[in-house]
Amino acid sequence: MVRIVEVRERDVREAPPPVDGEYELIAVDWEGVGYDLSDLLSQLEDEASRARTED
Amino acid sequence: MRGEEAGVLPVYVELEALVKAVRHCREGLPYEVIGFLIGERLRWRDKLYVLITDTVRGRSVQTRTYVEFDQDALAEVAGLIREEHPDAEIVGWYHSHPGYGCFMSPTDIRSHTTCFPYPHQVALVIDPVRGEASFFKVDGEGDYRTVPSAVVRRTRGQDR
Repeated sequence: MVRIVEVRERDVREAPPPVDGEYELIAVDWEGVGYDLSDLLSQLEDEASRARTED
Repeated sequence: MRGEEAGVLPVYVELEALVKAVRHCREGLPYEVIGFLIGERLRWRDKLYVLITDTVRGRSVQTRTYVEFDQDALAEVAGLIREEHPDAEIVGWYHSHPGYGCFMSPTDIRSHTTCFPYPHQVALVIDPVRGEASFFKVDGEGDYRTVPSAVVRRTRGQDR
């Protein structure tokens, strides 16, 4: 087995958590129970469908 | 941010990166697939967290119930990541468990401990059949636990 050594030591950048402003929060799993992907993917498909309709 | 009280860095994953990994896992059915999580460690108010911004498919040796990185391809993938993501680093890996749920098998734990030894590096397990996904980390004792996480999306019109 090969150890991946691509983790380079670097200064850790300061930045607020990506939950507002430039980002929007889509789903959270703070308790570690996992994600239901069907919810996420159907949401994406709905948006894609809406975008196609608007076009 | 949650999770730091237990020594676990919270993970934020961009939706596009998650969807890319899920698509890879679906395309690979019925076999397991594997890939890298690309991103950054960041700090805010003296608290660290991990942001995953992309995924890179890994070449692998695979069966329906087993997958490991093709070791000959690791250097190639590392070079690709260095070229395409010069400001990022490998913050973990993902692999699929087609139809048998999200957990870390003894082989997964061994792979994680060997290949991803840094405390902030996480494993994302995706079951493309059940439509489930979970983040995990492995501690020094070889035990694993779930990692608190959130899925985020860049607001439209914002360029990186």
